[in-house]
Amino acid sequence: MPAQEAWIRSEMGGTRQALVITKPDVLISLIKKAKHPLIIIGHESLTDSSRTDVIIRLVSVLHESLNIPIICTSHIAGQLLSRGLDVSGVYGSMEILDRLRDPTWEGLDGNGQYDLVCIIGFSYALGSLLFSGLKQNAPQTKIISLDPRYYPHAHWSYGNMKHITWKEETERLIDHIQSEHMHQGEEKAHV
Amino acid sequence: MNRKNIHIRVSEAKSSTGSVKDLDIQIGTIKGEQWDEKEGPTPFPDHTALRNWDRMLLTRYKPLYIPFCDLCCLCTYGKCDLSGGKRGACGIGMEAQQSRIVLLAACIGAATHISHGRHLVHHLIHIKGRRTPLDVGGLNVDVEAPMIRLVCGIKPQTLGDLEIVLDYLESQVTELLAAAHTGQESDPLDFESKVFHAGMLDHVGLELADIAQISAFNLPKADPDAALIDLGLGTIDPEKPVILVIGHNVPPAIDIINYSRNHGLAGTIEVTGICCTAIDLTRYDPSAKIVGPISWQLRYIRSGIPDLIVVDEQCVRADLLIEAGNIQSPLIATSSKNCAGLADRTDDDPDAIVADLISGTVPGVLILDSQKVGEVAVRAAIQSHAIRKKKKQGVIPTSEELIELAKRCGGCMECTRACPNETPLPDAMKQAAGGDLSHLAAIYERCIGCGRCDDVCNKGIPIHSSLVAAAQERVCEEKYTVRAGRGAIQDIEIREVGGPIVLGEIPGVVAFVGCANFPNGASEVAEMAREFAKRRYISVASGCSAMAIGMYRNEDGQTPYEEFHGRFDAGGIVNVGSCVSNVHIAGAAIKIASIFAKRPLRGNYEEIADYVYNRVGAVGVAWGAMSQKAAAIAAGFWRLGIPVIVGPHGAKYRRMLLGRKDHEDDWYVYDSRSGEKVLVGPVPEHLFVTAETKEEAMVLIAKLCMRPNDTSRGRSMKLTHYIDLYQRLYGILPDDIHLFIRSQADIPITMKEELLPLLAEKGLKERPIPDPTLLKSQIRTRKGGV
Repeated sequence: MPAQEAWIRSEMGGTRQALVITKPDVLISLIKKAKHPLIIIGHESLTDSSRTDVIIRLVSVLHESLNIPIICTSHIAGQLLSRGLDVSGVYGSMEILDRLRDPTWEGLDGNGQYDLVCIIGFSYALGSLLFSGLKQNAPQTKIISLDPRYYPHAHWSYGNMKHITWKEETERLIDHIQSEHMHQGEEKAHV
Repeated sequence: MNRKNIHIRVSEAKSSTGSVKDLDIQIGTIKGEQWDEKEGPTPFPDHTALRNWDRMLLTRYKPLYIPFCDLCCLCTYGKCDLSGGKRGACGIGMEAQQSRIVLLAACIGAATHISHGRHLVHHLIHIKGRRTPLDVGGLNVDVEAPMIRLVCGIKPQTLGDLEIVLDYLESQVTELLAAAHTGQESDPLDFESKVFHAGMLDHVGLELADIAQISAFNLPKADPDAALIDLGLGTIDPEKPVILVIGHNVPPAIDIINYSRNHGLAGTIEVTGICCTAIDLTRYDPSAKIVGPISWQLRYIRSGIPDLIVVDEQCVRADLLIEAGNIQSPLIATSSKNCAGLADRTDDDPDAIVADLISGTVPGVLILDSQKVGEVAVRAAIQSHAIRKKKKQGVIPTSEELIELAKRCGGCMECTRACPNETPLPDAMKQAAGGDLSHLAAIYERCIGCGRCDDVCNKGIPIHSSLVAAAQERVCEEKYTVRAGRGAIQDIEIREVGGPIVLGEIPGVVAFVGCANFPNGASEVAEMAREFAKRRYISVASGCSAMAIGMYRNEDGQTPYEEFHGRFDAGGIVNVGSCVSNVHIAGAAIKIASIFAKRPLRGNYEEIADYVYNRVGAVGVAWGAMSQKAAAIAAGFWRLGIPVIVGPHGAKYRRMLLGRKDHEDDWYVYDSRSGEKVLVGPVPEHLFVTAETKEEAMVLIAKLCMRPNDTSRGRSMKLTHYIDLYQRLYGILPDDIHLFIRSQADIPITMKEELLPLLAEKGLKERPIPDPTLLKSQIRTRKGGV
């Protein structure tokens, strides 16, 4: 299964292809560089039950360790809340795309537009369109896919991989974030 | 108004006062005053006549473009990369290019319906005569053609009158297509306005086609108690010769019925159908059977049951000749728009055609004469059945064969990657190889029948057929009912529901329309339609969605059409008919303005659309929208101000029309009584939007039914449904309730305790309920005039 190839083969990206995330450091570096990042979770985070627990853990860690707000689409907010996730907003997938293209949008916190968006939990067909829409309408925003399938329209995406490999990669990412966070905490305490 | 086609030619005439030579007079149309209603401002509007109205809507609902790819490949300058703000060699930008593609889709859709209408009217005039009266509901329907009256400003009375309408539609679609040529239109909003125009034309074409066939074939005339029709593969008796008709143009199928009746064969053969030809055929003969939506084509043909296949036009799979050949069923193509590469045998002797089909000399024939189709199809089906019943002709594997096939699967995932719904086929194959077919059977429920999985399997597994094999038990149990398409809504029904709808006391009209590209199986449409019927909305259905609704049984074993009444009234599930019958839904909204509110209809589009937009809480849901026709139908609703929700695949239409509830300035209307601008909130919030899940769609339906004109009682009821659905399906309270509450009286009584603190937090500002309009022209002066 070639990594850098659209999961649905006919989903040709265009003239610019996403870079493949090969190790957690890349993601962490991208996220840490961002001034105003955001996470968007789609409904497959819950309907694809084989991935749900890992997604919830990843998103929780990103939120708690790096203070990244979470938006969910469709009808999953209540279920995410009951799993202890702190959801900052509920939008339709097209509605959030519409907000992200608007340079004057105040954002969830009043601090304006986001400069990095991590997306996870969409069907491939809809996800592809979201990435394409963002590429076209929000060129200033860096877009990252955290799903185990290659999305050419993102800036950064995992390559196509089996779920088990993706889970291992995601666990590695979670470990890295947590250890960095603990390390920073210790440094702060030391200072 | 009649097309007279008078032609006077005088070669030479002499009198005492002078002489005339080569005088040639032609009169195409005589415009007579058959209608005492004053003609409105825009009869037969061209594509700029309603541009201001369109721009009003498009300012509030700004297009959001979602490119399918970065390129434009339409001319030899290209391919041009339009990403990142780049322009093509012709100067076009990405937004204009996307709206241009939307326009092309809408034009294809409109052209398809209009061409179908032309074909039908031509055929019906040929067999019935130009002066055949139009009658869609006898004394129950006075406004026989609300859309034609509204757009064209004429009151058609005969089949011949429809030709004038067709001339107009064809010229307008040509103009719109011309605008999509390289180097023409350049502005996205102007493209969008043209999309709306294409949609409006499409609706006129739909109406024309349906009222022509209702009148000429005596289809149900606005009948809420139209017959219940057998639906599903399990209702078909394969012991009889079985004919399958597929498509949208019903005359050949009707002539099959007529031939069998005239030759004493009725009841001895099974006439079965897929897609809208099936719906229209059962409007003509309730003993015909509907197999299912378009996604049932492969599974039914591969079952080997059809002894002969007749295809006409629209939504017919392009590989049916191959599929028919695989089960040794002859195929008859009947439309000039779908000749399928077959020899034209229209002028041949039926004996010779039947002989060639039965001997297998030819795999199929093209016959462009519906009566001849009727004869050849029936005779050939009877002979084909006699031959085919001797030997199994289906290509669906047995369970044992399936298990062996499944063992070949190497789990490469190519099938899942090709599947529009990304179904977990390799896992299911693995289970099947071990003898457990239940996982494959479960995928059958979600399968849209595209067959892409077959093409990509490098182990040669007939995957789609395997799904059908695994679900064999389920397939045999596909025995449902659907109410035959009733056609128009009666004027009396409009009088009864007009007030409650406009005031908001019937919380909404929800139209489930469109194709079968469902993300999660057909049952979701039934679930939604039932939910809203139970909540006393009016659920309306057409085409493949009407069938999908029928393919469901409640705990008492009833299908939704048995469970709910068919009147256009609260708590009904109303099947209007086929694709072309969709217009009766728009027509009902227009008739509310005309019959209930007494607004003048004649060539008065803008005022009526403004009325519908501000007052009629109607929403379209095209959960499996697939086609360009669906795009055109949706566009017709948009211009009337009726929002449309599509399923997740609907985002592939490349453009949404979204409002911004956080932009308060967008949501002012005029109070036509005073001329003052009044904040009404985001009602309806969007004009075209994709929902990711059925649950999201249901909440959106309830929300998008709100209108500025709702009384407090009506708004309170609508809010009750919105909040209740949101809480039940999302598990939380919506965060935008305050935007819809104009005064304390709007707050649902049973929720007051819960909502008041929330509203206090948001700071509820009391707002008046206006007599809403977007149009300055509708503001009444102090003297009471407009």
